[in-house]
Amino acid sequence: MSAKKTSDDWLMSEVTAGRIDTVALSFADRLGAWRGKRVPAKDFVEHGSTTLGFCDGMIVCDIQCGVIEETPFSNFSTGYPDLHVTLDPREARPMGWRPREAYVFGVPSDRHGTSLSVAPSAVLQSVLRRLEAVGLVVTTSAELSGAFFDSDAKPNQAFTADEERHLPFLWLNALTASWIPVRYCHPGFDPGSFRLGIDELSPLELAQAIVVAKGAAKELARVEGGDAIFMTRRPGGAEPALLQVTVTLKPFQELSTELLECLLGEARPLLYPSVNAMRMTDVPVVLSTRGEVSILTVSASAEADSATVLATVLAAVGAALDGVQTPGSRIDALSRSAQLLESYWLRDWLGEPFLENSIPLFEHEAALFASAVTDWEIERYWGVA
Amino acid sequence: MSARWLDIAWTDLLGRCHLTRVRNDRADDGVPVSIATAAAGYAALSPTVGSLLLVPDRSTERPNPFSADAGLVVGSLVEDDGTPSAWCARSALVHVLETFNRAGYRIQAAAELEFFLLNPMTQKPLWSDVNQYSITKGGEIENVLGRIRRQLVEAEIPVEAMNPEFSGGQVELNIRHAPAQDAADYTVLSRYFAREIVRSSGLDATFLAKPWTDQAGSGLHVHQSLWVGAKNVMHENRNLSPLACHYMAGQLAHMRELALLGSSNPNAYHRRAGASFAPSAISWGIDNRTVAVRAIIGSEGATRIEQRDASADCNLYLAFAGQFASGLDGIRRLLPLEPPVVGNAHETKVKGRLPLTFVEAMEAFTGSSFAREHLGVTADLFEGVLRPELEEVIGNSSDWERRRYISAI
Repeated sequence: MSAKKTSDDWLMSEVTAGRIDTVALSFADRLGAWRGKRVPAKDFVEHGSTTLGFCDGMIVCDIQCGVIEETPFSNFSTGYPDLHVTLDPREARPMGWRPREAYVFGVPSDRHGTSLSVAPSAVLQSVLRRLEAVGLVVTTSAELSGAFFDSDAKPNQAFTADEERHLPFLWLNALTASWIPVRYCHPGFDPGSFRLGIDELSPLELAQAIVVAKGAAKELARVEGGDAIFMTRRPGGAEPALLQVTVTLKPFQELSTELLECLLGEARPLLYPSVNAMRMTDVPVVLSTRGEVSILTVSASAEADSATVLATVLAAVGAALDGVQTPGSRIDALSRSAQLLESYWLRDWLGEPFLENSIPLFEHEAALFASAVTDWEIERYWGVA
Repeated sequence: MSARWLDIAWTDLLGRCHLTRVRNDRADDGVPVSIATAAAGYAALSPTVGSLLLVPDRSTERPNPFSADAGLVVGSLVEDDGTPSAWCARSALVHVLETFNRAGYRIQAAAELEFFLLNPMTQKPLWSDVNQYSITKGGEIENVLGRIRRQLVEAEIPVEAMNPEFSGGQVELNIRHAPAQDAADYTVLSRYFAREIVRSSGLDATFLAKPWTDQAGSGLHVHQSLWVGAKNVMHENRNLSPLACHYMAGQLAHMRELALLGSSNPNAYHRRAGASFAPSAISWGIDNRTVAVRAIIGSEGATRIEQRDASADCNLYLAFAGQFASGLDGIRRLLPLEPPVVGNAHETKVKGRLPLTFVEAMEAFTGSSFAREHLGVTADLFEGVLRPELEEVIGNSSDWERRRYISAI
């Protein structure tokens, strides 16, 4: 993914030398959470390419790992069979903040090895194949923003002090040591907030790098009793936590900012997948040209799954190049996510199974929120009404 | 040079593992163990007097990562004349496996153990949110889980993987498949040392089947395949073989009467309440997590069944023995297998249901001639150790009853 290329026998040599003893065999779920199992590294390198089974509910679960009965792919009625993830030791990379560990990602498949149509990484691969088939070369980079908080729930003031052990610097070093090509990390506008820039990678590698970056941030912060927060809107008008992806298309393509904004407006729940994230009102799109390439930058929520964001943005590019002319209506609320299925281009590019298994989860979140009495209501109306 | 001491791991009839340290050069003479301890109940020593001999099974000798001065071995309980004791659950499994071997088969098995990590001060789960398979949450507790994996591997126990499980504080330990006797010993040692490592890390652990009403329970899933020579005879033409079907039919036929072996206290039956990943129907299905026996059809080497009923706190030797004996009975009698459950087994009409309470399970086990035939006197002794629980559970008023009824009635 990286600053330092993997070599076929990197893991083998590290294990043989006793420097690595554990590997996290990994996949990303629909919400971009990093899932998997830790296994002894020696077994993994000796066995070679390994296929692991996981309860398939975990690819369509909600933010609390709950599986909604309405998701057709997996629920009690399907019996929760295994999804399979095949992992290749040659793809392993160091887990930079854990000196004796490595990690490797795989794409979820069924037991016959066919990529799962509900897995964001598989959908991203499918979108890429279509773009590559028409001669497009796609590279991507990203800026991820969020905030570190200390154990007392106050913003981490790392950037204001000259301390190398402060969280953002530990994080930066950890990611670099994980061969993630981090370009910068600087403070955001609000206390504790940060912006992390990741240099160009293939879309699938970038998606995985963002999963790792978020996981590392949380783990490093939690070890100190704090947390890394990627919830989009925080109280007090703090700047939102965003995942800004930049797509470089070669050769140059004639694209319309307005059309892309319309298309991505139809896909908003995929880019802003929670009630909180949908408080963002726009899907900002910036188009530019540099020499022979087109550059497109889109802002999504930092909560969103990175593979889903990249797949959706690239699908919009593909749809625009296909000449889609009649954009549907913008989705303004998570409860209206069923509208995703009304978009021909979304069904065509992302596939109906992906949408059909995403929509119940969005609607479930919206229904939970609708039935919740919030702190705000209590504070505002209790005793007055 | 062999170690000066030998740590012998052995289990009592409830399946609790004990470690006896003995002079290595005298270990083979046997160590006296009182029946009161070997047959202790949950709350008291057994009133039975007398003693047994604990002898090491030298074929299980392995490095001891927990002591520089002692070897580590698994032991069995024998009578004075050296014959296996009926108080010894491990010997009951050995007997069942010998029967299996005489029939020409050998079993490969692997266990998945679930347990909870606890805050030792509050005895509550170490975290509250759900983090199944989370690499990030796993990283936060890797100082404990990593230690468990590494030390078990040092003890030559083939740990396959570990991960956070569904409930807050819950984790899972997977052990790689091995010949059935080894698999049972590995699981016993793993359960014992995992808890010891957790405790020495400043936390606590419990394998109790269902510690909290609103959280998932902790199960013991046993993966099993049958082999003749180098061939997995559960696999045929990319499907389950007829032999595998008879084996499963046997397990289903005896599942209700032997449920007590896998769920040996009243708490374990709460796992079956409602729609959960613990089975309630005596059923099987292909790659279905709602059934009692899940068939996993893969390559020849990977095709197997997973028995999902037992609880993590059971006597592992007896649970294994009951499952294997049932399967062999299905093969011998060529028992036919019902069609697989497709969908949610909790809501499917099936021929039988697992006992929903300890009282039901005790009744079924008491009337089981199959248990006596295959476990011998051990079955009666096991039932006897559990009988006080029956009296306790029937006689006790619970906090739940008081909360629900005291002011309403």
